[in-house]
Amino acid sequence: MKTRLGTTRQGKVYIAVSLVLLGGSLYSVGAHAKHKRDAPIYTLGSGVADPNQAGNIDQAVTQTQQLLSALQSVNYDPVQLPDYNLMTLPDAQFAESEDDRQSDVSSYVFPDATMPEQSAIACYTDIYARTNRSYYTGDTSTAAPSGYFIVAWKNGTVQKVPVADVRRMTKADGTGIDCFPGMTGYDPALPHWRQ
Amino acid sequence: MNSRAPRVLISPYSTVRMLTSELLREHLCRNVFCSLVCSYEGEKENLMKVHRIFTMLAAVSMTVPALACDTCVLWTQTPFPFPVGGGKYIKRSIAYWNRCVDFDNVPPGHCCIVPVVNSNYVKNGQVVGVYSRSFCNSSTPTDVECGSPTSPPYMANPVHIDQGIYWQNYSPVSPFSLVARPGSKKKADCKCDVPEKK
Repeated sequence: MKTRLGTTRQGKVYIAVSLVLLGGSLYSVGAHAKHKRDAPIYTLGSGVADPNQAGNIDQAVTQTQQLLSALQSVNYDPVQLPDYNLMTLPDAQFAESEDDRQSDVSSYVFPDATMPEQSAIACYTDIYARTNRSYYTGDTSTAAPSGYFIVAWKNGTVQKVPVADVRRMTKADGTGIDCFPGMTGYDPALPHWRQ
Repeated sequence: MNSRAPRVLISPYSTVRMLTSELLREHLCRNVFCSLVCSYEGEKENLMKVHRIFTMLAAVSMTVPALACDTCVLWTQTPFPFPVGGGKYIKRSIAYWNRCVDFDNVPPGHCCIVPVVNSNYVKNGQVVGVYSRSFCNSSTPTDVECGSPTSPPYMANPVHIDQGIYWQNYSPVSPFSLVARPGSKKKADCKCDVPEKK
């Protein structure tokens, strides 16, 4: 005989079981959605080895010294360098930025007249600096900077600068630039690099 | 007399529903309430109701995390400008700016919105996307412009820092150019690791 739901004790137990299952499925769906929301959409440099581990930063410092010498001979104009290979680091293959990993780009920044704040710098590289920035749905991102900058000063010094010491200087137009200890305007109170 | 044989329609949905129902029932039968549940042979309709809810919830869970790939390029590092042609691209500076970013087509209300610069993202002569760049129109941003009720203005607590690399191309055979060829490859650089929104 057909039994109507809810008319017997067994029917009530059945409803209870159904509700428990429904609650469980709702919870799992909610947890799934939360996981999707909390998981980063993308992390910069993911899948690329950290050059500070996989690379050779000592070699990069040596190359930077050679590059600095070459720049001094051409009045710090990189376009006049006799050997463009000097401006590309082998460890650029580990750069966080996809653009920096290309073979036809310089691994170094050569500040020009548009960056008077960096006029004391001959060149620097951020190949060994990582933001480790993750992006999330919505408008959230988090960064965990690590690594080093290598800075070549026009006074002949080459420095390995930890990212913890690098600051972001904001210009009048709202853009920020890398600011290293020793640069005019450097202030430890400035915001940290890319944080 | 109607000589036509009665048609039996078995829709795929019915088949799936039936199979799923059986699977669900089998699952229920394995638990401690097996004897109770299985005694209700006449209550398949109720099982179907549960199944329909399951199906609905499954459908919801698959559509919620959709992201539009078109917006991915907004957070792609932006070489600006990126010249066409051979030669070595010489990096001249790295600049950072705060910008409005929406990873899900919903621009955050607390970002700077004035002025906004929308430009084509040109790479190797191809328009591969669009990026936006936003500044506050005052040196001292207000909460309205750049902050949210729960965070201070962006100068103290940046919403986002993006990086732009200014390149200079030196090549005797290929002069500097910013001409974008037709035939946009807008999604070429998309790095979505989630399904594209249909």
